[in-house]
Amino acid sequence: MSEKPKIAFYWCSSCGGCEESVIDLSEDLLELAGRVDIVFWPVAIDSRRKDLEALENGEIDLCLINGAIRLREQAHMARLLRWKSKVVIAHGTCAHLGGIVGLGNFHSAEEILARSYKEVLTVKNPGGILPGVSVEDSESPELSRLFDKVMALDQVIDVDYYIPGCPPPPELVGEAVWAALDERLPEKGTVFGDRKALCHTCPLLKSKPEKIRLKKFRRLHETEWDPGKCFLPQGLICLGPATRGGCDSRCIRANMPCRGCFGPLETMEDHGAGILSFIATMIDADREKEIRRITDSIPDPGGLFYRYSAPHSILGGGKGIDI
Amino acid sequence: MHGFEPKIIVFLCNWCSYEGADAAGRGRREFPSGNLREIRVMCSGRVDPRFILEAFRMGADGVLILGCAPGDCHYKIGNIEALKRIPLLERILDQNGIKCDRMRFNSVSAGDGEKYARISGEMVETLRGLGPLDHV
Amino acid sequence: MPQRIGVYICECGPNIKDALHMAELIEEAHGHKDVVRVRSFGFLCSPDGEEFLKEDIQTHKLSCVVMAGCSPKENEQRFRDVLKSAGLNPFLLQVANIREQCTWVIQDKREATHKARELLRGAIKRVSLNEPLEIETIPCCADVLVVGAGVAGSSTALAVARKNRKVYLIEKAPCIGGKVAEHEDLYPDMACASCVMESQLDEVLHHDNIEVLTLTELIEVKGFLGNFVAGVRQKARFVDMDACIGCGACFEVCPVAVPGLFMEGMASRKAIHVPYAGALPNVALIDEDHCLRFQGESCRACLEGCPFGAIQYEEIEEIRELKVGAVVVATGFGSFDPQKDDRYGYGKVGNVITSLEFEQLVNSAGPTEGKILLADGRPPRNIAFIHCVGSRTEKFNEYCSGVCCLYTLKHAHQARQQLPEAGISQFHSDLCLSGKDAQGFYRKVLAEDRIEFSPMLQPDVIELGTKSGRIMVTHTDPSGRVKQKEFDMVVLAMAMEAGEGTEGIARTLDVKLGKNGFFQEADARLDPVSTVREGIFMAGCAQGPKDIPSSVAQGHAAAGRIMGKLEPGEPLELEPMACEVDPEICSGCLVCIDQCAFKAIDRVDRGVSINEALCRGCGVCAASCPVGAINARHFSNGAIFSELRGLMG
Repeated sequence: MSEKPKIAFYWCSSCGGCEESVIDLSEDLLELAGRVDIVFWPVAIDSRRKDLEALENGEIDLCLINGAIRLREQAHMARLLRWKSKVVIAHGTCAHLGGIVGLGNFHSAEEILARSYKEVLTVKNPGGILPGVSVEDSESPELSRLFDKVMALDQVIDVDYYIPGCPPPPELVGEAVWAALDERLPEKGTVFGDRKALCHTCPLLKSKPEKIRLKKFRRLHETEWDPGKCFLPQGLICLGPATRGGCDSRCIRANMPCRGCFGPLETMEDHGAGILSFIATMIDADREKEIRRITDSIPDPGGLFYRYSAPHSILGGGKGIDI
Repeated sequence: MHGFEPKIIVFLCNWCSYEGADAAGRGRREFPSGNLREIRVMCSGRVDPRFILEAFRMGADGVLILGCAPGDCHYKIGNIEALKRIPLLERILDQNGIKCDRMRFNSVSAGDGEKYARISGEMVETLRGLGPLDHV
Repeated sequence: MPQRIGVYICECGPNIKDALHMAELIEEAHGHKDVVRVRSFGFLCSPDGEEFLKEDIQTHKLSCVVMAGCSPKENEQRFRDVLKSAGLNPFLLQVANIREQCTWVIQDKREATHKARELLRGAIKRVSLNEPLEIETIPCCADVLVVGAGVAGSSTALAVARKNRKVYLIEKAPCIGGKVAEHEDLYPDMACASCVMESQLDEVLHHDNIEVLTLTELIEVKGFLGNFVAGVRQKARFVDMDACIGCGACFEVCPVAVPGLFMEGMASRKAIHVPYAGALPNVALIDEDHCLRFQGESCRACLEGCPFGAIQYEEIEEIRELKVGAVVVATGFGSFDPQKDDRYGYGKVGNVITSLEFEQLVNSAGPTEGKILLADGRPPRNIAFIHCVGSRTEKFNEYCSGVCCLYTLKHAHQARQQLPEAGISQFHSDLCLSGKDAQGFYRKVLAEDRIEFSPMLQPDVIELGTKSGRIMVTHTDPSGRVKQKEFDMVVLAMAMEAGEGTEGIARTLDVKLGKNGFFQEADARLDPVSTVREGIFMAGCAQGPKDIPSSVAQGHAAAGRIMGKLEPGEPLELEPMACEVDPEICSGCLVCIDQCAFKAIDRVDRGVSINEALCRGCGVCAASCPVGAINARHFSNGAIFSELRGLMG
């Protein structure tokens, strides 16, 4: 490229953590900034939608989009960025799989809005006004409407690569960006990170026994545990066996079990199903009543197993609504 | 729901429940077989949770998983491993807005055509009452 | 390469043809791409049908076949054979069950047709994902390891050895024959135990195909059916087995006397000894724990006294690896320890002995040369035999051992023979007298031996105490009354339990124990001599309490099972639908290992691997794998999803 490559960043339904992961490139960020031309990055530079619209199609060499698609405006921006970019990377778990935002799929948009704007005790909204609805005599601009379901980026546009993680490790962001700039990107559709689950590289694997049987699943705040040993035999749910590795086991090293933010491997479309499969093997019972009792010690299996991936699960979080 | 006929995917294990379903056939039993779509697996323990979720996604109104009676599993513990997954699956279905009555796990022995007819008949009745699964 | 699918719909006479709209079914089949041939036929299972199918497959160069007709449980194997004869891999077949699960149970033709179409669709969508599986074979070893040289183990060993296979018969004791060889007479015909056992044990010791290893224990078993490697440890005997003839010259000169381990510890013997008179092999051994030399002193009495130079102090224990194809555990039984229940007064009240101890008293080669005597040397004036000690009670063992009533009757009979005037009583609740000869034996004893039968309300409502040097027996009779009687001697019939060391052996063999502590059968009804682990069998009281004929029968049964599975020189056929692990995906989480009831999954470097010689193809591991690294052949995820798609339309 004769000129500097053009790079864009955008955030949809996001917490800002993915933006942080770019900042956390630290000194490398300076080198990056010197090598590229950042044309669009709402959180960091003064760029507007019209600047984006003014670009040629495909003029942006690399675009990182983070956050899930929750609002119509976000879908619009995602499509716009797709037209304007050669390569689009789903940056972070929300863009990759729907992320924590995706947990919204266990409820309808109406339920969520009603809870937030009407039912919460500390909210004073006597008129029951909801966002996304026109208000007469109001001078405020109309807010974007919620989609019924949260979507991951590739459920709205064609995505070239994925950087998993909530937030993604800066090293992985760096790896993807440098690969793009050096024109050595892997096969289209690749998810950066390992090809195997976290157990493969976990520092605690040596203490994971072949047979684990539990009479109860424990929650972190309920119990103490031995930090040098695998969480699972101690009754704590670690999602390492079902979750892609490549994060350097940073949570494990911080004495926390894996929460599954890198999502499943390519072979397992539904992360929660893979988790359910191995969690069930640890139940120490062979009669229905006792199996149910032990299962009940997991208060929210849906939320736990699909914490980051509900929109990309087989049922999507709520495709069927029973009366 | 008048006129609605549910479609139920039935997973049958090669050694017990599949034989039980065949026994119901040989006995020309009366039950709503037209509502059932049977899939043979070697063991109920083979039924991956994904099969069940996918069946619902594709539009099944119900899923029935039938294995061997406790202690009779041809592969010793396969039916127990299948059973262990069920309560968690029920919770997942519930949270996804699918009433967990739409999924059942039970056992049918090799010669027990009567039980196959009865269980599948009961499930069809239950689902006629619940109506079709809405798909967004 | 695109598939060339052939769809064949069996009319099954009127069963299918008249029960649905055949034309629609044919139309359905034609509607799928890759289906190049659709035909219906009257009876595809007939010789004509099979011939037609074979030719059609070849003529139309089909790549796979869908059959719609009766249940695959009826005809899948038959049609797989047809595919094979047509040159097509037999697993490239998918059967849609439109008879048992469709036309036979749906009266309405339209409804039946609708279901049949979808079943057919499911089969058509699935068949493209069937893989051409091969039936693999591995070489196998047909030799056998038998653990335990009692009556069951020696029966197995002989049955197998006579069929020209090598048998390693290991026994932890210094002699073979187990408990039976320590008996005097056997019920119901009072046959002499040593005479009965002699010829069998002799043949065992001299058979070319049997290698007997005494003082030997099992330490490890690795591998699988047809390919086991067993580690055994043989303790030192310190006597050359080839040179020693058991003349006993060494016993005479040995200065150390100790109570014996055999004969229930009642006989006394020397540090160098033969376990008991008549023990086989008739070879001495040195007891390290008591021999002066092994305590550091310089005694050489036996070495100097032996006319055959058979003593070898320098002998050390040996560890050997035995390559075998099957293992039989025939480790026998142990007895309930009566000291666990104070009521029986064993060890506290004088002259309360166990039935095995009584057996030694009446043994002509035993400590009293066959005389029934009290501790002080007098014969008893009366004897009480108590049934069900430790049996039929939730407190200890809930089961009945099935042999004790009979041998207690035998003991009563033996007591009567020796002590014509003594009072002989039997305290029992119920009598277990099963088998062809038991009732006859009981009637004979009843008629001739003047036994007083004292029934009890329950098996354990009895208590023994001392009263002026005699034993006071207090029991509750069936009407609830408490009665007392004094006796000189009391004999306790104990429950048969799993032998000491059973748990350790189970762990070494990696097989399960049942709820009563005996080895767990693969199927209590249809496979009682197999453990859950393929290639490891059991026989005799290791499986549960039983009498001698039953132990021998199980010994023969185990031999039969083994000879049915392993043929010398022949390869082993493996399960074609075994599961396989993709090492690219397997992340070493180890979840699957314990999921496998057949121990077919092993850890390998940072992952797992499935031993296809052991895999039965159930697919439980495939469904449990959190990353989908395991493929269940012929029932892959892809195949089942395709079938689902076809069924759901």
